[in-house]
Amino acid sequence: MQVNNSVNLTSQPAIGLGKNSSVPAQEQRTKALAREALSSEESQSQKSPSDINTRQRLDIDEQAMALIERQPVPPYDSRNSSPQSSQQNYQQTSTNSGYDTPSSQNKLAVAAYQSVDAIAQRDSIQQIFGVDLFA
Amino acid sequence: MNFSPKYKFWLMLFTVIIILQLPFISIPFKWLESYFHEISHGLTALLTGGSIVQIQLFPNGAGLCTTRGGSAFFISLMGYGGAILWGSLIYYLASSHRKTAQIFSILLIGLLASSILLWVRDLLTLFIVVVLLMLVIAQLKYSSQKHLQTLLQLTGLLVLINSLMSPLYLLDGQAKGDGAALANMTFIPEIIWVVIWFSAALFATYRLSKLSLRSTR
Repeated sequence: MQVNNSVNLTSQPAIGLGKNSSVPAQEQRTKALAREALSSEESQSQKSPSDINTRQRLDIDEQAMALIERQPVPPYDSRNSSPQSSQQNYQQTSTNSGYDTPSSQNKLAVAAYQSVDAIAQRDSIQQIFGVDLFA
Repeated sequence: MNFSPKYKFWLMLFTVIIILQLPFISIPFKWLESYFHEISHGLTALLTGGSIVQIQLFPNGAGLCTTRGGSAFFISLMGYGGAILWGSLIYYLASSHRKTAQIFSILLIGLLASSILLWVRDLLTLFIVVVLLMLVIAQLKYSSQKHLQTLLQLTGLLVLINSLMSPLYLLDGQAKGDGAALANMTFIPEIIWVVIWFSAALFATYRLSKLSLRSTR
């Protein structure tokens, strides 16, 4: 409701000021206050989605942090705590953790799926034509 | 170059391993092993009361034998097993006598020609089998009897070493091929069949090395 009133107030003064210069000073002050109120409301309304975004981003970050925390931490080897050995360990982990390489479980699943498909095809051919296929 | 007959087998084995690593030169020899693999499936089907419908060979060295009837177990077993036997037989007969090598070459030409007439039904397979036929004819025609023996021995070893390596391609995690078919029939895991074929090929190579030593004495 406040927004509607203020919109009306802002649209009117420009016309009013242009047309009639003999407006009382009190009325001008009230209009100026109304303009200020409108601009502050507009700025608040512009800020609110960005606040939501930042909150969402914070939520995602929290989830990511939770995921990272859940990952097992490699045991610290007290015997080889030299900088060289730590570098070697980092190289090993960086080569092992290829981010785009599918896991062995995924590979097995795909292989199993493909094999079932091949067996089905093979069975269907054998049933239709009454022959045996040997590769 | 005159190498001692004692080392001839090992030199030939080394040559075969090198040939199989060469990108284009190795292709016809892979086709040859594939042909012997598929023809072994087919001949076993005939021996166990079945018939051959079609033999297909592919440029990448793969093949397919379509049969009707016969013992599925023996037909599956004799794909890799047959290629090992063919390789050993070619080497053995070529080593035994020059005349035997010549007769065996003529028999091989007869087998390839009858395969074209009876079981080849597509152009790609026809091309591959014709290339193999030309290879054997060229061996017979353009080499002296002494060289024919050596060339046939090399051919036998090429087939044998190819059949030593090819069962290992079955260890790809996919339930395909003769190993998987035998595993389905017998409930013996595929890896056991691969080990059997690999061991048989290794044993055949060992026996042929002994044979070459005996023939030099």
